[in-house]
Formats: sequence, C-alpha cells, structure tokens
Amino acid sequence: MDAIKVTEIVNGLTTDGRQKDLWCRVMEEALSKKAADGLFEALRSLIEELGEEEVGSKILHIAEHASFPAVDILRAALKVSGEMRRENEHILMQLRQMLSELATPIIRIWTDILLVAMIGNLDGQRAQNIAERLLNRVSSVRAKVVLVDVTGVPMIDTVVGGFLMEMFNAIKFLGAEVILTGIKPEVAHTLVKLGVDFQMVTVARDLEDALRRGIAITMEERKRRRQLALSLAGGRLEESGEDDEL
Amino acid sequence: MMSFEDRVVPIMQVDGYLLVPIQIDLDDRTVGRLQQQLLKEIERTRARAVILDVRMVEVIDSYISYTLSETAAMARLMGCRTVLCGIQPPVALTLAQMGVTLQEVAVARNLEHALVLAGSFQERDKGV
Repeated sequence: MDAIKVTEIVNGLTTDGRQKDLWCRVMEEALSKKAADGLFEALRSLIEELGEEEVGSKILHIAEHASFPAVDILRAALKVSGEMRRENEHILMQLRQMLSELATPIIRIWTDILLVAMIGNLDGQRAQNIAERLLNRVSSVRAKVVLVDVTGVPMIDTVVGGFLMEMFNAIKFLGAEVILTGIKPEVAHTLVKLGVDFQMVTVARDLEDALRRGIAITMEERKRRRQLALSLAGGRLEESGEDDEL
Repeated sequence: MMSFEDRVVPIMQVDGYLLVPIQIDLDDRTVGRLQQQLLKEIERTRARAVILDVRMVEVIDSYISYTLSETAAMARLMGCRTVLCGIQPPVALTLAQMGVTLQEVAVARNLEHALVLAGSFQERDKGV
C-alpha cells in the first residue's frame, strides 16, 4: 500500500491537521511491520487526543475502506487503552492514599502523646485506613496517650460513631489512653440521640484541656515507674519496705 | 511440680510477678493447657500478678480472648491480677472490630508498663 492511499484514507477520517498527522503515523507504523512499540506510542498519543471510543470507530472506518491491517491496529489500540486505564487506576490509588494521609495528620505533640486531627467526612475505607495507620504509629512510638480531635468532622452518625468506638478499644488494647475532644454541640446532640456513648474514653472540653490531662497521665505513670524502679532496686528489703510505707 | 509435657510456655518469676512470654500459636487446645499451667503456677508461687506477653502472637480470636478473660477471672479469685502486654496493632484492630472486651485483664504497652500496672493493683488492693 502506498503513501497516496494512506493520505486518501486519512483525509476521509478527519479534517483536523494535527489528527491527520497522528493517523498518518499510526498507518505508517502499522504498515512498516517493525517493532510494535512505535505503533503503541502513536496510538497512545492518538487516544490521548481523541478518546478511546472515537479512535475505535475510526479504526472500523479504516477496515471498511481498504485491505488494510485494521485488526492489528485495533488489537494494539485495545492493549494501549488497557495500559492507560491501569496507569490511571494506579495514579488514582496513590492519590487516594495521599489524600487520606493528608486529611488525617498524626502528630507527636508531647513526649509520649500523639494527636490525631480528623478532618472531613469519614467513610468505611478511610476509617479503616486511619485506624491502621494510627495503631501502627501508637505501637511504634509507644504512645501513652492519644488525643483524638474531631473538630473537623462535620457529622458523626452511628457508623462513624461505631468506627470511633472500635478504634478507641483497639488503642486501649495497645495499652494507651484515649482522650476525645472537639465534639461540637450538634454532634453531641446526634450522638446522644443515636445512643452512641463514649464511656470508655475520657472526653475533654478543648485541646488545651485534653493536653493537660494527657500530660497528667504521663506524669502519673512516670512517678509510678520511679517507685517501681526503687522497689525493684530495694530487692530483699521490699517486704519490710511495704510496711514502712503503710 | 508439673510434668514437662503439661507445660506450654516458660514462666519466669520476678519479684512476686509471673512473666509469661507466649511464643507459640494459640489454638483452642493449647489455650486450655495454658490456662491449666497458669493456675497451677499461681498456686505454687503465690504470685501477686501474672504478666502475659503476647508480642509474638499473630492471631487472637474470640475463643482465645474469652479463655484469657476467664483465666484472669480465675486468677483473680486466687488473689492474682492479670496484665496483658504487647498486643500487635493488627490484632488490636481485629479484637476491637469483633467487639471483644477483655474483662478482668489490664492491658499494658510493654513489659515495663505492665509491671507498673501490676504494682498499682497491689497498692489498690492494700487500700493505699
């Protein structure tokens, strides 16, 4: 098949100059019978320009026109569009993960105290993701107290409330205390109406209050640890030492 | 003294506390034997607290957690408190999602915290 025939077919496909160039490249690559990479590349730019559906219908058009290897082009086009879709999905997944990380910063705000600021609506997937990240962080930094600030959460329904309770229980299984703060009046109203109660955690008025209580808990534990160290160092004297304390 | 085959975990005694590192996969049968072993050891050593370290345990299902609570309740009746430490984050999440509550068991971050908790029980029991 010669160049004139190709030009003729391409002219029948489109009137746009740039698209013509792209189609010409596709046809030449398809005819040249060399490595398929060139064809894939040409098709890719064409699909980016036109969209998959239009390229598909144009390829059918070519098939009607002449004894041209339209099947090869179609097969290549399908492969290229599949690759593009996978790439897009991958990018989308990365973005989603990045978004969830951005939307829920976990900050080490004080010695042994973590702050989680929840922002935006929580759905099941995001909730699971946050819980996993938070638990890993609590475990790796050996946090004593976790402050959970829900100021940025516009609505807490039974699902989110249930998720929060699960997360708090899980944190307690790691041996850390949870202090919840930032519950707005309307959220408090909804929670009570729905019958979600956060009995298992301390609730603080504001972040300042929460931090103060958190520090108090860590100080208390430090004091106890010192007593433990002293009593262990006392060794055999411990039995009589206890009586002295009383 | 227990026979060698009856023992499933090593039990160490430190200052009136029993340290129990659990380094085997717990299944329904093992956890029953663990319970037996713990109770016998508590009786023998007259320990004030048992500290179970589950750092190496990858799966704690509802039956195991129930048996642990049960063991803790039994130990309590023998005057011995139970502290669990070293729960891994995925295990914690699964337990919470199953709605498991570990009754009679105190949960600690690590061994040091567990000793502190055990010490605080002792104070409370003495009415300090």
